Amino acid sequence: MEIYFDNCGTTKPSEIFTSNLSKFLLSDNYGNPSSLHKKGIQADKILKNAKNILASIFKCEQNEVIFTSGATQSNNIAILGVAYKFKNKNKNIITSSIEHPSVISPLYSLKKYGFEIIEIPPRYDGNFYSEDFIKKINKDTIMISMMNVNNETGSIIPIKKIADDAKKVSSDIIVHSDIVQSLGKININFNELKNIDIFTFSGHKLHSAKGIGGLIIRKNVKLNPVIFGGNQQNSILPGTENLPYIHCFSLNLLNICDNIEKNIEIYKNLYNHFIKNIDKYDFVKLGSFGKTVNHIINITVDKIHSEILVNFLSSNNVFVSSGSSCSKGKKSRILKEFNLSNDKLNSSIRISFSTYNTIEEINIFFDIINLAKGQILNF
Amino acid sequence: MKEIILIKNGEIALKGLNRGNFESILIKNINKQIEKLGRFKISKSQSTIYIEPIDNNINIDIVLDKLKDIFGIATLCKAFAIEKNFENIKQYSITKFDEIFRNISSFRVDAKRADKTFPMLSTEIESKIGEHILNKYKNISVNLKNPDIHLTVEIRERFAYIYCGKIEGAKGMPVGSSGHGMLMLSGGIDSPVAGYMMAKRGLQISAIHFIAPPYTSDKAEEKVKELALKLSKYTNTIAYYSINFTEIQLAIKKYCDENLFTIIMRRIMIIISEKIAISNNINCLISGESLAQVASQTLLAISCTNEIANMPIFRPLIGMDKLEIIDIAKKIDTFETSILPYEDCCTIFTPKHPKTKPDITSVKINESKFDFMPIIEKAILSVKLEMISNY
Repeated sequence: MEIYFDNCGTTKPSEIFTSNLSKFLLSDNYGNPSSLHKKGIQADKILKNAKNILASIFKCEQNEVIFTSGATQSNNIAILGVAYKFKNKNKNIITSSIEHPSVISPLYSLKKYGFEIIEIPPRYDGNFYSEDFIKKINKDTIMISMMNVNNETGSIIPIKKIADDAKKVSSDIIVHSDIVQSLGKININFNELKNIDIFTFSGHKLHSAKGIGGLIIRKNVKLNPVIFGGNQQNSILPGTENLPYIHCFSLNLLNICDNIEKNIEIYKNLYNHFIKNIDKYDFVKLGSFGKTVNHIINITVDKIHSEILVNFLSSNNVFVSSGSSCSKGKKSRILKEFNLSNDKLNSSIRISFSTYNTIEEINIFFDIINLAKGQILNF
Repeated sequence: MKEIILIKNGEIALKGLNRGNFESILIKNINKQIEKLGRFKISKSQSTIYIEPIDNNINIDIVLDKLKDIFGIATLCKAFAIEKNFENIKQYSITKFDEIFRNISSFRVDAKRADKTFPMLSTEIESKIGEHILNKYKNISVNLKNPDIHLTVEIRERFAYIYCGKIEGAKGMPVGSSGHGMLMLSGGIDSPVAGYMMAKRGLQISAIHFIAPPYTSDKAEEKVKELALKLSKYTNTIAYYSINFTEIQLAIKKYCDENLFTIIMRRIMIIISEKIAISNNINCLISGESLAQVASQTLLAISCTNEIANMPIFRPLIGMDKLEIIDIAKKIDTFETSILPYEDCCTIFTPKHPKTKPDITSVKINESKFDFMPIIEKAILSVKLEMISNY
């Protein structure tokens, strides 16, 4: 038996995704949506259908949907695209201090062109407040880029409030939000998020395969392209569209969003059961604090090095992560932002659920943690 | 006309009556490295090995690239095997090397006449070909002492061989010609370099690595196997032995003085490595130690670890600077893998203040505090063998 609690890293593709993919690949739908002949027209219909599905989920127009290879590509296109558009005017960008490397790295790359990047940390209570972002806005501010839910701690950034407040200060500010860890996992009312101009999302974090993700870019927002080629996808991301993945990703996402209430209930039950277990073991503590989501839990196991615990769990077929999978075991930059002690930084692991996880798995997990405490040397 | 490769032996050429054995091992090693590229006829004559492609679709430059990493080869070059008549030689000396002659300012011609029935003397061939080249290219001259290039013509039994320039080979002795050594391979920078250097002296290399799950990760071991794979480019197939060392490390930590942890650990690693070596007909150990690099590599620390060994331990890096070692690691392409962040993690086991001047008496007293032999035997039984090879 395997227990997979690393769903922020990636997820298992769903039956809807895999069965539709194999059907699609074996079908006659291999046309290029840009071709003029019947095959191309047929492919273009499938592409438009996928865009319509996403438009219905995001409450946007279908030509505002751009499919990418994943969130890293999306974030780069969004951030660099906005920055290059405004580079001759204003150069101030506000972000949170806990962003994913695919946001932080393109932002830092802009510094050499004279951009000022302002990072807003959480307050002492572990929460983010709109006014901390808003008070940093000045006449040069062109963009606010912030994630909705952090991938290591589950911390929530109030993107609606920040977007609404920012637009009151200046309607020209472009608001970008990476919602990779919240889409399909918490309730998002897109009708109320009209002040967010660009969304980033990913497929493989939501039971699709690696290699598909996307952007929603409001039609009034103009970006400079950072990749050049043909005129596919409004010229924002040229290149022949990955139609099999686009098709199956859209069907899969629709199914997840249709079942969102049920999924939220599953996460809530898993979270509550997990927290009850934490209370039973005095050496296990919640790692993060402040407002967090139910599907991401950061814990510390007293005096046990997180990397060793990850190895131990792995040898027992339980898969969790120390820090983010994207930083491969380095000490977490994100956790440092929450002012955790060195001991906690060293012993922090991340549990991230999918709706495939069960209460029984949590029980086994704690049995193995208990075993680990008895067997692994303290630091 | 055929394109072939000529290989000049290095040190082997200096050997006496047993030279043939060394050459046979070298030819076997060459064969292993290139057999996947197609069919070849490999022959030897005097101190030269001839590699002649049999299949038509063989890319000779890829073959050259493979051969330049094989120990025992001093130099190698692409040559043209042509019919043995002077007009032919004259013609090819220009047509095949036109681009080279356009880009140099001086040359010399060397002729070797192994076939004494050929109607011209070596000196005659040299001067006539030289003259022919000078007539064709106005901007170059002959320089016998320090030419930009040598054009060589060898008149042999079946063909005349004509070639220009040479590629430096890996030199050293053919792997397997000096015996078989057990490399103590960690995930660091030094040990792969030590293995490379002993392979250069003709040792066949096996490797032993100690894992300590869960204190070391599967990724850390994958990295070590990756290093073995990169090393196998120079050493032929590597037998990789992996030993579970966790119980021993925990016992050392529990029963022995903390500041002697590394010394005692290394002594037990040597005991285990020797036992695995003996049962596999391996006659020496190889270690990446470099004098004074870390606390366990001071003279006294090395004396203490050496004391337990019965086999010779080769430490080819002992007198080298870290930067020199890194240069070799970069050259053999192990450096980037070595510095990946999956350490043999264990800060938990590493003493805060390791002894730099340990004495063997206190080491032995510490070792006697616990009967390590049963868990050493158990660790040896845990051995896992994997054959790691580049071809």
